[in-house]
Amino acid sequence: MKTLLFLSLLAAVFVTAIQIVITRHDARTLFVEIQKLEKVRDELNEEWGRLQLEQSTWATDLRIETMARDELAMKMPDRKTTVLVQP
Amino acid sequence: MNSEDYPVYHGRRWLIIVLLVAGMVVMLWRAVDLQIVRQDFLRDHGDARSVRVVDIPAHRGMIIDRHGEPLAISTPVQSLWTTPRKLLESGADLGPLARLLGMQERELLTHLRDRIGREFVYLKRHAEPDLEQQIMALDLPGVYREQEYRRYYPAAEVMGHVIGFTNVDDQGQEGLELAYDEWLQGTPGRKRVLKDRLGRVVENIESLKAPDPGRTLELSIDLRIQYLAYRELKLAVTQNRARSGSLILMDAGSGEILALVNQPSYNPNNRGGLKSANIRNRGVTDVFEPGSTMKPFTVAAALESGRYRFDTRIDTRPGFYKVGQHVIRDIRNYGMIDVATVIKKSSNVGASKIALSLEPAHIWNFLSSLGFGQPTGSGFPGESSGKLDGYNNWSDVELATMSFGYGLSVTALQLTQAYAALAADGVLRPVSILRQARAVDGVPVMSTGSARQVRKMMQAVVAADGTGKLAAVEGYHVAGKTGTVHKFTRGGYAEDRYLSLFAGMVPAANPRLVMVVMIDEPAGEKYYGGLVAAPVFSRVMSGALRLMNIPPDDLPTLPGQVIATLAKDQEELHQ
Repeated sequence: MKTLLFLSLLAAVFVTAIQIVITRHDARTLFVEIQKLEKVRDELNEEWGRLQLEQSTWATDLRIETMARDELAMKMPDRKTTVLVQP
Repeated sequence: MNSEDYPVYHGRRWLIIVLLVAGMVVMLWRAVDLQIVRQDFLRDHGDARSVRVVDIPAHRGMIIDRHGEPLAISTPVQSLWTTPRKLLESGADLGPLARLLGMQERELLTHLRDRIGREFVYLKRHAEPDLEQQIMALDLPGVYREQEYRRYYPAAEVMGHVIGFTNVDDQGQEGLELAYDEWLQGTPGRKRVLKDRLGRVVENIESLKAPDPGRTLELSIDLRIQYLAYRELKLAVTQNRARSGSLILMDAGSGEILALVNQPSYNPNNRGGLKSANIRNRGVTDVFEPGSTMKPFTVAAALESGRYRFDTRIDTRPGFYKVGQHVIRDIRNYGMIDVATVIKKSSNVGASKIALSLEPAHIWNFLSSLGFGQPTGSGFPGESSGKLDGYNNWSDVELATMSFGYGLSVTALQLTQAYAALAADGVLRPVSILRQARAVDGVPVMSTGSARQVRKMMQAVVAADGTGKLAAVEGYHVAGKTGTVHKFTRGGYAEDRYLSLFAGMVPAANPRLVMVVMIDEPAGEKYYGGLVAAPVFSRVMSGALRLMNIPPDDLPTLPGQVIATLAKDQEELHQ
């Protein structure tokens, strides 16, 4: 009886030992993966920031105004050419 | 074969066995010693040589305007650094590196030799991506890069004073970057990594703390209006050859600042050769005497006292009024005029007589409740509180001059806030540069009736025969007041140096927008507030009203214009 208990406990020790190794390995793999994903996320964030910067540079009011006035010959409609809609 | 042919050396055999066993015991003991007894000590030392805890840089929060337009963004840039000893001992050719850094080779050499004992010396911070790649392509030993963040300001000069800037270490130095530094700043995270002999990260072991990026700051500013205001103010300051100028536009209902611009300005992206005077957010930090723009408050105080009505007659004859040793003058003799005309004609004599008939304590309490002499709490660094002396020491002269805006000083922001109280039917609301999600509670400082009457009087200022007629906005009733202030210099009030002011609100009956325009020392032929500041008000206001979709309230002044009804218009569209 005692031998049986001893043997089963010994087996349990081995099983947990191997489990620990497996879990640690999994944790490492997952950590590496999360690092990779975080890097991707950061890169996407960076690109988003860059694109926002680019967009706001292209869309500065000054640039739009200059293009509208000079290149497209647009102008503000004066009062004579506007119609007021009353709800 | 026979065993007797060979001698048996028992002694030798035992010796060998004993030696081998002894060797094994020693090895086993050593293994136990290393693996169990000294395990902690050894692991610690191993880790100390290769495991490092490094910071994960956190992103600084964005600043956006009320419509989400980015005003300040952090983007990652690379900084290049070196360990001088490694670089120098490698014997590599430093010529190309020096050229890329824009230095002489000798200069670079002395720079490195002076710092030979250090492990970490910056070569170039915030390098352009091109430059960084070229330098890394040289593949020099001991040259590394590190990721940092750099702040970019897409709106540049237009928002310079409001936003301020950060230093190279990403800390706020001026403006809102400084005021809300804690809010914007992220907390760097930490992770444990395995590094090799050369300091390269071989493996990420574990994350100790995730970086906490900074939060986004949402301003009340409307970038489109801000841009318009910037352009018009700059034009006016240039045309009038003025020293400086400020313009503040506020939402009367919420106290939110929609536009705040100053001249001269600066580009926060490129701060080389920057003059400190240009950094000043003048609308918030600089004080001036408000001059005639104070008269609406004098009149409001008179109405509040219950002793005056809008039609109470005041004798301003003969155009000047002696108080003690001091003579207060009008431009000409206005004769017997009512309170409304005091504002319309901007009569100093009328305002003085009103003030002298009131209790000084009443006037002081009234002005103080409007926020004069106290900071507005906008949160801008370096905000000035202006000056409003206690009434105990007021002489008659001081009381009289205060009624037309001399002897006290205000910032443009305070003046805007006080005018916003007139606009909001007498409710003073806190000034806010941040977007308010909910309605803001204010403090009633005067009765609704008084505020409405004063607004009605101020409408006459912008009428065709008023001093501020150039502030008129087509299609809207404007209420406002001009101001032309003699500047106080060493030796008294200067005869030829002025401050041109215009403060007003639109639409007059139920104001939505309040604006103050201040132009300092126009050097051209024109210097009256009604000629210099009022046109700026008109142009910026008409653009702002359009951008804010505020319907016109003065339809009869739009002649020849078809006023279509919605139903009819839709029918036409469907045809």
